[in-house]
Amino acid sequence: MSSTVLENESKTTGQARKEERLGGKYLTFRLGKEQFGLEILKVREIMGWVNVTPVPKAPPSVRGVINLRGKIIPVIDLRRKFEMEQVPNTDRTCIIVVDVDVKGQSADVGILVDNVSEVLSIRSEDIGPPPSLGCEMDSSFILGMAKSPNTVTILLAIENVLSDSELEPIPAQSSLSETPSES
Amino acid sequence: METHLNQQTAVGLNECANDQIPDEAFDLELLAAFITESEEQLEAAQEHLLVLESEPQNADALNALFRACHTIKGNAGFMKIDPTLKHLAHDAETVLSLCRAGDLCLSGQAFELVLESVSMLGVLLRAISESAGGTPSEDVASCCKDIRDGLLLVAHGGNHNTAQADEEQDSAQGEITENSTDPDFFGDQNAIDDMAFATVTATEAKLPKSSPITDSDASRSKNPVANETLRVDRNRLDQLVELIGELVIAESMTQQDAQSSKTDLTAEPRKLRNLAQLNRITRTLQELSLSLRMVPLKSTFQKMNRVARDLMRKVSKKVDFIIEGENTELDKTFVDEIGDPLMHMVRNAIDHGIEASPEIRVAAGKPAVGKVVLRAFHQSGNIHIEIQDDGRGLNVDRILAKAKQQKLIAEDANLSEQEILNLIFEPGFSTAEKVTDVSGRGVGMDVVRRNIQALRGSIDIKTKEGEGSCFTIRMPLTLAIINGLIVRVGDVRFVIPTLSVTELMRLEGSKISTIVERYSILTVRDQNVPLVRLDRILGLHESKEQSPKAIIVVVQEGPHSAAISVDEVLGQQQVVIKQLGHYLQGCRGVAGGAIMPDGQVGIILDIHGIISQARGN
Repeated sequence: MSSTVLENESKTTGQARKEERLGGKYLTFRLGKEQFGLEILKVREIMGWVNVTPVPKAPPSVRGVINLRGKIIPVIDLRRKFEMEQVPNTDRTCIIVVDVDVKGQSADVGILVDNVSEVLSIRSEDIGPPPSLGCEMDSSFILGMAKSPNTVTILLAIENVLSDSELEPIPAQSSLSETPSES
Repeated sequence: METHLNQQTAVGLNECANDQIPDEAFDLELLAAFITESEEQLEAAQEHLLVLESEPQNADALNALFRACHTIKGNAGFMKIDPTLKHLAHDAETVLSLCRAGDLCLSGQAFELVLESVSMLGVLLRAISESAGGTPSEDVASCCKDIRDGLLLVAHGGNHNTAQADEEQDSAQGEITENSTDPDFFGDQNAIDDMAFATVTATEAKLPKSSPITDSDASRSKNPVANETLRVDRNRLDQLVELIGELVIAESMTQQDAQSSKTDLTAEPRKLRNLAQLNRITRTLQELSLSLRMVPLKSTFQKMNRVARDLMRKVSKKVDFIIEGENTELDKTFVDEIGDPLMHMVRNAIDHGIEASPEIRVAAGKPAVGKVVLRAFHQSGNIHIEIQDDGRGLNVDRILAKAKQQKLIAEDANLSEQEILNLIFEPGFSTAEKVTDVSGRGVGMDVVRRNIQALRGSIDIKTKEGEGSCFTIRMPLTLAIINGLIVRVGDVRFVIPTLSVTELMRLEGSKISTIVERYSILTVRDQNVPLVRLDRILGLHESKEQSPKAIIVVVQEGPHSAAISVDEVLGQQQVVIKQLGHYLQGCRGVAGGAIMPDGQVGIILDIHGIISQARGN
């Protein structure tokens, strides 16, 4: 009896802790009418649209690469990633450089968004769990939904967004490590 | 003390007498390299020992530790230094080899002895670096002997000697307590102190007091093995290089602004002069930054030369050892990492590759003197290092039989020739019948492949029985610089490594024939080469009709050529190759990116990938 109570307690505290962790500062941006939030600690910098060099044979959601102070980083088009309608660039189009973990290594990746709004402090009690999106879409890319009087902000689990299988580095068979088949 | 001094001087004189004088400076250089390298190996060994202390069965750590000892032993074999080091490493290796085979558990006394050997190797190394190849003091030597005896006992007959060893250790422990009050000589022994083990530490404790090495040092300090390079944190260096790159771009933007501004600059001589000064400084900085990490392979190759010469003497074979392309520059990391594998391969080529006697060679219709070529060159943005011998070649059947015998593959395995050849890279594989200090333990090729793969490179074997073998190491360039041809296709700029380009021509008037309307063939100097439409093969969206003004770039990779049609050739330029990062590693036809002078990214084409795509595989 007492053990069950304990178990229940620990479960609730576990959940509470998880939501508590979600509270904090988020950088919000827009894709069309939808508002998204990124954990501020993952954001390196925000830059306006620069010329993105397309990379041949890259996955469709990779817009190309840019030069970030001497480092070449990929730019992911979030609209393409989420299979949303394509829109032309405007002067508010932004690239947010985020620092993500790819297979244990930290890497800078740029994500292309319609515009950047503001930095919001979101309390944990305003954050709800990710909704279930049916079988068509996996909701693992959503950390949670933040409610505010006028709008709902989708808090992105950016690591999950960017580590989708199509973006995974292709191991071993890269053209560089390929051995000549004959001579 | 006096006797020690005399002894050492005598040894020193002897060495001088034996040596040819021109070799001396070279030897010192070699010795310095040997010491740095061995210290690194020992550092790694200490780490693996820590792992093994808690998990004696950890195969990875065991293998790595074994390899470290093997490398030190192998390297020491070629140095003109006191043989104690080599012998100690050899005995430690013997014990580890038993552990690897599962005949012995690396725990208890065996573990402690190996640990002591590793610490002792460090002591010996330091002694050598302080006295340029000198003999260790008697204390150290006797301690080495104790450890070696212990190792041999363990290797040959289990642990029945434990009681005695314990006793020895007890007495040694006593000495530590006596000596440990003196802080002077414990200060710089941190690494060993961490794992303070009785006998070794005790000996160390004795060292400074009676130290013949430090004393005799004064007389020999004229040529200490000094390392004149400065070690810098790698990240800082990378950051510096990146920042300088940014500076160059910012500078060229400033220049452009100044030139396009309406005010006549000649009216402002001061500004003009400052800009010119800025320009000069940034160019120099850029050149410097690009060369910071690049070093020629020369020193590594010369070391190989030495290794080859010594080995020839040892196995009494006559071989012409030819070095080509020693000025090929390579990222420092690569030069460091490539040394070990190269040494193993050079030894293999001479020891196993070349026939045992000139008579056999003559009988096979070859010149009596064998030939081994070590060659480095750039090809299509990769660095190739080849080791080619004209020896007996690899015997596929024998490799297969041996692999089956050593149970590396199943009895009924069905392998292609290339797969069989690749078996020689398996850990534990060796076809040599005898274990010598040169080869035969089957660690060599295992290390070679591991090291090269760690650099994201690959290694290929080409061999023909009776005619010789050629090992090719192919490595991508991380931070290497290449000469690139900058071309434009549509709106996109590409960089084609100039080394792959054989010629440029106009499309107009060239002979193009089509095959079933889809494939184009271009006739270049009586040769038919496939015409590659870059936009098509790279999946770019703009697929306009070929403009007649297009320019054909004929590229070659190995024996294959292809003609690439581009819209415009923009020029030629040195570029720094950068990787595109995790996400884009798998893009075929793309070797990397380069930052162009205007700050944007140009894509470097992987000619090898493009040609093989054009050829349909």
